[in-house]
Amino acid sequence: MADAKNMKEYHGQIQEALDDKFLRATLDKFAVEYKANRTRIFDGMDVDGLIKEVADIKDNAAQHMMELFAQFKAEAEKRGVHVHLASTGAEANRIIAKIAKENNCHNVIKSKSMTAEEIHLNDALEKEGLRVVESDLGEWIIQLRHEGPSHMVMPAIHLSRYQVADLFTEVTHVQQDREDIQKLVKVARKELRSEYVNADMGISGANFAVAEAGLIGTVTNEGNLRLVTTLPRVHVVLAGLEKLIPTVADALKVLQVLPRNATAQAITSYVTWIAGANECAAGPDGRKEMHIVFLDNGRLKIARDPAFKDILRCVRCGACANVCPVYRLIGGHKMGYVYIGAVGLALTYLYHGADKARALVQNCIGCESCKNVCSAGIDLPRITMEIRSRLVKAEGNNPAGSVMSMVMKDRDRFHSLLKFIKFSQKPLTVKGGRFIRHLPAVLMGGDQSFRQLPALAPKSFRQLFNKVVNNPAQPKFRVALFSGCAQDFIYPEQLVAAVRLLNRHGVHVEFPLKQTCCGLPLEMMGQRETSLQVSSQNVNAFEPGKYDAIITLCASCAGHLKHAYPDLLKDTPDHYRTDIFASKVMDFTSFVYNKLGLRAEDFVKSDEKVTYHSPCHMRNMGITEEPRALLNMVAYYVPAAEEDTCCGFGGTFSVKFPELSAEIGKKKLKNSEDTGASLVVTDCPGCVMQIRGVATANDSPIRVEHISELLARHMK
Amino acid sequence: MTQDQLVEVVKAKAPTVPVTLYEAGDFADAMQYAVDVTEKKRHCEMLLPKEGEQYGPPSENGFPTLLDRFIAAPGLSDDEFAVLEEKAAGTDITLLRSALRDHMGGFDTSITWADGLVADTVTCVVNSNSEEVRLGTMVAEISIMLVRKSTLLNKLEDANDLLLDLASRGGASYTAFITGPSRTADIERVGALGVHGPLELHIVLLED
Repeated sequence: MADAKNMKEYHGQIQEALDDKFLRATLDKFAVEYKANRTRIFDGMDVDGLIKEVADIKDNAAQHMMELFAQFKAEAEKRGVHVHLASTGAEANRIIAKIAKENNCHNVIKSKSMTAEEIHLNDALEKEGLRVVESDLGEWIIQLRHEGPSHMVMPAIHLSRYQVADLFTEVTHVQQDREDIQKLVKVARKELRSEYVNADMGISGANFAVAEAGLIGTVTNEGNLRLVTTLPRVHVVLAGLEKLIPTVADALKVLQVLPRNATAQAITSYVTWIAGANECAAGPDGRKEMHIVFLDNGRLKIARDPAFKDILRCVRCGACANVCPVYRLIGGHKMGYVYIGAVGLALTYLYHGADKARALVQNCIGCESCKNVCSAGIDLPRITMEIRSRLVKAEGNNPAGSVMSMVMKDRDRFHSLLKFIKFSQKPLTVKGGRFIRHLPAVLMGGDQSFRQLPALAPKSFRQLFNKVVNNPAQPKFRVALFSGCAQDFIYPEQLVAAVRLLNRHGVHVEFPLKQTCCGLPLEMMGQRETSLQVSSQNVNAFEPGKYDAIITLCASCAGHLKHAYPDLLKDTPDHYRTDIFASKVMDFTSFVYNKLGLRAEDFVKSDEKVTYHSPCHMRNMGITEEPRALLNMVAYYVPAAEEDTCCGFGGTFSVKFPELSAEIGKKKLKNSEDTGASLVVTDCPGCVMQIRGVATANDSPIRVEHISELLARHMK
Repeated sequence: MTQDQLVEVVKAKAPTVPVTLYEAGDFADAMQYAVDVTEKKRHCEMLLPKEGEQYGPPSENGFPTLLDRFIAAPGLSDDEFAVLEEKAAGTDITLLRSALRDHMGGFDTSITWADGLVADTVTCVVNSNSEEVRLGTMVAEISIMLVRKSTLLNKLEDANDLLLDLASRGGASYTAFITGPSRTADIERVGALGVHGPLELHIVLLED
């Protein structure tokens, strides 16, 4: 449970996780296996179509929450169920404690419920003198250890068999086998059986609350829920209002995605559908005393907030943690308070407040892996950025954010500052002036020594452009370049190479000088106001109608300009211009391959072994085949392990969390080196900065280049 | 898909679930199968041992085992139960039909009807309104599901009408989709069967 009050405390917690060797090895293995298993289980299915359907079903449900509640209540009451609505967690806890008291219950057996974790239900019931036992194996283990879940689906994934065996030995007073997991599972089978029998109240969660039939649907593998809802005479269901869904057909649709995305299963062992107070030999009149407590805790308000409402689509599959490069390093205890993973960052803010979320929401690298894997297509990184900007708005700016905003707001001031740095950096440069020597951590906001940072180039691209451009008389295409800061001021050679290649193949290239930073780093720092200003400057710096394409060689800029701008600027006078601008934005690699149609005959192929790093923001735009096809035309391309995993840069993330950026970067370097290639090629200057920086700091012989440089070098 | 094709799908997918599949010649054959399965297995573990009771040798997990064998067959009609009684006659098997709450320490086998079987996922749709059916299918070490071939469904979404029907007949309802035995991967993500419920699930296919 990460509940750090400030960044310093949070860094301390992160370091603990990084030092946990078992956790690291487990999550590394899981990250790789999950991706492969997920691909296999969705094989032959229209995954994107299904996800869209789930999103629509959940959106529709969220917009009609109270109508569905009324319908559900009527249907459930017809079937003998008491339905409650709690506006807060405390109220839900009070209602459940009261039900226990009125029915003279003393022993509670629970099946897994994240909603119960959200409101700390066990603590509340124990304070009332009730004995509460978790029956899901993972939940039981962490309950015995007095800790929270480290994954929404696999709550005890952070523990080894040895830790579990020692715990079970302590609990049963019998020495348990320390190796055999099968036997450890049977310990739970035996120990928990008497708990089911002795319990007088069962508490479960719900994956679905189907309004048309007053029906609760739950998804489990262990089957514990069937015993929890059968043996005790009282059954209480706790469900967030977002679990309401109109029809059985809707629930079955969601069920096609949920287990596949969660655990790569076509379906879980048990899906249990309960409508009404069922037969129960221990109950009054042979019937169950059944209650359903719906929890608001902010959900109704979230449903009305356009920036946050999508979060109510979440079906708690946990996939956003499974693919998160940060989760992989530090696990759920440090990447969530109660809710875990990318959705956990947002839900912590929304359900547990700014205090718990302030440090946590900083810990998103912005790679968007979660968005691409989400069961319901929630744009989690966008929601995280929105939270950062709301925190800045509500609590005032932090020093780094203020400085950044002040500098970036005014393009002339920003560019003058860069010019100033360029002249004054000289005494600090090393390796032929290409890198800055390691600066004291205090200046950098953290130890950046894991990578060698680049120096600013002697001449920026905006100074070089007129000298290098050689536009054809009869152009095939007219394009404008959007340079982005990294290439304009640090790596102009990448743009120069692109201009040469484009000109050679009949493309007229222009470079509008009024362009500035794309604004993504500002968004990452919660600087919404300044981000909107620079976005507007950029949109107005181009005459989009003049060009066949606005080309950028930076994957992150491309993604931001193309996919974030229309949303960011939709309520401003620039919205119309923005839509045209965004529609013209294209990354260099796909322009060269798809639009310009360059093929093997346009290049001289070498036998140099090269490998590739796929920038997150290229993958997120669906560009995966084009760069690899181009590499094969000019060199001998060898794929690296986890080529599609983030390099750990994440812009400002790598400054905020150097300890995490370093680990991800080192792994990337190792995977690249293991191919035996002499060169890593990628299509984003941020990734170049990270991988080249890590390679240089580690004295690796491997070179790192932007794809434009490699292609230009092999032009015929 | 035709019924025969759906049976083929079930046959192909059952081993990976894992589900043990048996195509019975008739109902009597199905009952004989249940008796055979029960006689072949090791005696049931006693999960709620009482002081002073006599038990058999410890199981592979070190738990005491029951001296007798038990088959619980909730949900069988009187005629069907009579067939089972006939097949179990002369064995050391005790048959149970109700009051399964008194046998929470464990029994060997349960026999229950499924109302449908989704071929694509090998999922049994089980009307579990009866508490005895719920306990039977959870407490038995081997759960045997009887499925009429005419109730085979193709995909999960095809269970919509059946589920809606079971849930809308008036009054309360409890419907289970059961796909294989009780399982967990909560320790080191290593798969293990029988964490709370059955260690094995068998499906017996019957002609109508």
